[in-house]
Amino acid sequence: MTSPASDSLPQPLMRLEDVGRTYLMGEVSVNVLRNVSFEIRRGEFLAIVGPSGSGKTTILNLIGGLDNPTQGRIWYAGQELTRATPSQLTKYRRHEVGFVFQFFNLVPNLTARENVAVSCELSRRPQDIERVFEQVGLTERENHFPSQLSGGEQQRVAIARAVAKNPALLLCDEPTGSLDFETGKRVLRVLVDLNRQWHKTVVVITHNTALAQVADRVLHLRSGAITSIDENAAPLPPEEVEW
Amino acid sequence: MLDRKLVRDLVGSRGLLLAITSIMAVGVTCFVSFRSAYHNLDDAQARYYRQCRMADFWIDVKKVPLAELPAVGRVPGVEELRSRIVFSATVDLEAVPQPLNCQVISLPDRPGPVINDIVLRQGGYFSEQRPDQVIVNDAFARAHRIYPGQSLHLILNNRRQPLQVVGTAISSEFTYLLGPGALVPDPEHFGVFYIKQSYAEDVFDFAGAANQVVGRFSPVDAASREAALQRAESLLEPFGALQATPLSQQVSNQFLSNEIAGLGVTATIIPAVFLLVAAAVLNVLVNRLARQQRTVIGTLKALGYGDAQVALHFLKFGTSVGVLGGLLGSGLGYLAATGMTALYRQYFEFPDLRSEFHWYTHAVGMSVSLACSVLGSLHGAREVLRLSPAEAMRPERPRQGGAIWLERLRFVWSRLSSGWRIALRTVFRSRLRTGAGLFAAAMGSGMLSAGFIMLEIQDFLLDFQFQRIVRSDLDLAFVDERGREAWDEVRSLPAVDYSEPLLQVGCTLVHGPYHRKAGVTGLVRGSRLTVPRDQRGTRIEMPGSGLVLSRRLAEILHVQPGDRLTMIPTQGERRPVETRVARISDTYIGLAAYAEIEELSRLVGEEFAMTGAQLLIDPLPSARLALFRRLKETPGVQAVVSREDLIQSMTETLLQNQLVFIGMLVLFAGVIFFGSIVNSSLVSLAERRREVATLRALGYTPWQLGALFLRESLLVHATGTLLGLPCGYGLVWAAAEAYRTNDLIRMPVITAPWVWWGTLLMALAFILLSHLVVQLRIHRLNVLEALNVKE
Ligand SMILES: Nc1ncnc2c1ncn2[C@@H]1O[C@H](COP(=O)(O)OP(=O)(O)OP(=O)(O)O)[C@@H](O)[C@H]1O
Ligand SMILES: [Mg+2]
Repeated sequence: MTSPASDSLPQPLMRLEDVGRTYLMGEVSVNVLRNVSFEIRRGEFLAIVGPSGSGKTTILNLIGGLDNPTQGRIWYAGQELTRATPSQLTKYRRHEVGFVFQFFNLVPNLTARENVAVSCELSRRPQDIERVFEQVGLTERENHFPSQLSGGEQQRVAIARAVAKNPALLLCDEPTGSLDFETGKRVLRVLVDLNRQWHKTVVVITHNTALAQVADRVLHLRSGAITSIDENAAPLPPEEVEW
Repeated sequence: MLDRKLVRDLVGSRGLLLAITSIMAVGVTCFVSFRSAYHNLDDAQARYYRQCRMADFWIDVKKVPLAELPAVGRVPGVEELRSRIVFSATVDLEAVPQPLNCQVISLPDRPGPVINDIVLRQGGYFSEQRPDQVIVNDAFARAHRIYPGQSLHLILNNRRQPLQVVGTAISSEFTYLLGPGALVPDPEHFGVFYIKQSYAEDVFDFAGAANQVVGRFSPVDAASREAALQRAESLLEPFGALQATPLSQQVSNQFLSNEIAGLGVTATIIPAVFLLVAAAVLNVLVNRLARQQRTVIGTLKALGYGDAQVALHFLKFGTSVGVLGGLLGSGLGYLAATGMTALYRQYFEFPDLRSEFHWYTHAVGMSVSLACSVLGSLHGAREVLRLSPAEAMRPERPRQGGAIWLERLRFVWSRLSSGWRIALRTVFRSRLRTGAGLFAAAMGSGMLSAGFIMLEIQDFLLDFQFQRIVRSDLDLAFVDERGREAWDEVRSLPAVDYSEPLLQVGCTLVHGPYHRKAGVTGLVRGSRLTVPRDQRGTRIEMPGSGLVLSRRLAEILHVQPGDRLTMIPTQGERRPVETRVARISDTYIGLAAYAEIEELSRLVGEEFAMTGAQLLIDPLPSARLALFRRLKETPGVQAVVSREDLIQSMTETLLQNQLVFIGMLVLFAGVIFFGSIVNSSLVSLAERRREVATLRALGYTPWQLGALFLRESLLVHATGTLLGLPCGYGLVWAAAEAYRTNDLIRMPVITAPWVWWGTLLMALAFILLSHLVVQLRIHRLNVLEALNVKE
């Protein structure tokens, strides 16, 4: 499960085909995703928007190989994720994907640097930690524990952790969800820079339509189904977003 | 990097880990110490037996000419024989008013590798210089400060003989040396004296004869050995074969081997309890840790850590407890084994009983403790590790808040205060924690109650055997059978208030294919100083005719009251006599058979015969002194047993042991209770930090909140304690069952109310004491911080 070296544009990085996800809650089965099909292009910045409970996190988990669909198929770089074994999925997560969570999910008793190192250790070609910290603008905070960092700083550590192992795909679940406006913008800036300068494919979940203005494409989700996919001809820089 | 998290996790829950580690360490300590002591004793026994060339069998006869022995030596299966002259006698020490009992044994005039050889401790072997040389057993010499070069007097064959001490020695035959009627060694009142073969032949008029044959078997199977011993015994039958004792029934060996076997059993049971409890408690802790770190686990998996790597992380957490507990246990176990071995030196006389480092035992202890910690931690983390990463990252689904079954019992439930309701709900919902708590408390209380029952049994047994069956102050044994005039003589001794005659006749009891050699004791009708009793303690009257047999003996012979059996005396004309079993009595030490003294006398062809007497004596010290002085001068007295001394030395030793025993028991049970309760309460507190902080903010006092946790802990651990009571009883019952067919010692299962109350009170004390730790945590809880925790 490795990304092909060729940069031939026509092949998408990821493809979902008629994907559905059902949860069994005792007797009742809840249909959380229905017939979802779309592609993620190599190097794009994709935003997924939708109201709470519409299935955004569920999609992200499926893309990130954290969960399996109950229906449909998912391809990553020509390989079918839905037929991968658990250990192949682990390898996929390890080498191809970087996760950023809404609540940061840092290991509380490790320092910022150590949290990042936890992820570097997994990678065959990790980024230089110093450089990553520089990129997220946290060089001075390296040796602080999560509890000694502000929310925005914690989220930037989380991003640093996701990028440090040098994945092709960065998946962010409401990265600004628990941050204030200004801090949110700074975090967004980091993500945009990673997309533009380091050529990472970035998928960002948000329920805030305004934020989607920075993305190349916006996928609209409602009650577990795609309502539309919009191309953004001129993505805004994060600083100009109003919300 | 994860290892750093590990270290910080470990430091973070150090209090709890300490509790678990201590349980585990005690378990390993017990295992290592008992097992090491087992090996120390076992090895020392093997070495000692080899060094002394310990006999495989002993055959006592009245008197056998040495010329007859080669025939015995040719019995297939018998490899080697030695004949010797063995007599009970009394020692007259100037410094001691009373005559002391001893065994006199002949040894070759010149040293050689004989069977049942001695190991010299001081001085040397016999020399050519003079015939009347004696080697004293070392413990007796130490107790009376007897050194080579001194002289002392033995009453041998009714004559007071001066003897020259040339050395002191020990022998494997008397590793555990017991005087007549005793249960624990009393070196002050009983000794062994080795004299020259030639001298013994001389003083006992045994020229060219012996009265004991000791021998070794050639390496053959058990059945052939038994056959060989039977053949040898029957060859000696014409010379009055009193008794044939294989090594397995030899008293010293029996005590030592019982002790070694007991250590082996203890080394399994107690550590098993501790390690299981530790695993259960660790299970609870790791479970809590894993649940708390749900998101961390999910995140690590999302980052690309494999299941195995994450599991390994929690495994390392658990195994660090195992390693620490194992190491601590190894160290402490070695120290404890050294202590135990030193203690054993007080009872067992060995040339080189030393504490050795049995690496294999330590390795086993370490592996078992590791295995338990692996089991405990994997099982604890299993649930969370199994979650898919997406699942793990979602907050834990609240425990089903449904009603517990107790709530359906309306009339009970409606009567409970809300505090009890909360406690009951928590107890029923946290099954894992409740289960571990119940188990630990049950084991702790099982251990306590079993220990207390053992104490009660010991008291009962000593009282039964030494106060109720035998009630005399002083027992006399004569060298020969005497007539009625001997009784008059005894009665006329100074300070004798009351006396009863005794007649001991060695007999073979035969019932169909079953037979057994046993001493039959003749008692006067309505005897007061030896009173056969049944289990309930009711006295059994001597029947006009027939035998009273102790239960175990009746079992061996397969007889019941009313059955007929044949009695063949082992001495004299050995004429078989038909008699019947009149009653069954109970005794817990050895085997016993009683008959009316005149009936028994007729059996040996006399109108009245006695071989000893039991006395009640004037308690005045001066009166006793006068009696002892007279007894020293009275010929024909083979042994004088002061029962007061016997009981005193026994209770002293046993009391000292009991104190150690109780101390260990309380310590062990305490560690179990304390470790388990502190762990489960602190885990419960950690889970409900926010709840507690919220309640504090609402205005609850720390004590009110503490009461909440105390209720929970009481519910679980008091129930567990109650469950443990039958476990304790069962354990003792099983032990008693294992001893049921032991000919030397058996035990009744006796309980008393204090056993149960004591266990409950102890448990309550432990529960309250451990609660203090929790209460302290609640007092120290930083409310603001706790309200802000995000888990
Ligand atoms: N493990 C689960 N079991 C049952 N239902 C689930 C589970 N996971 C998600 N759901 C349900 O699926 C639906 C979609 O969930 P999802 O987390 O994808 O929503 P979301 O769009 O991310 O919402 P939000 O913006 O609030 O994060 C919700 O109704 C949720 O209750
Ligand atoms: Mg979501």
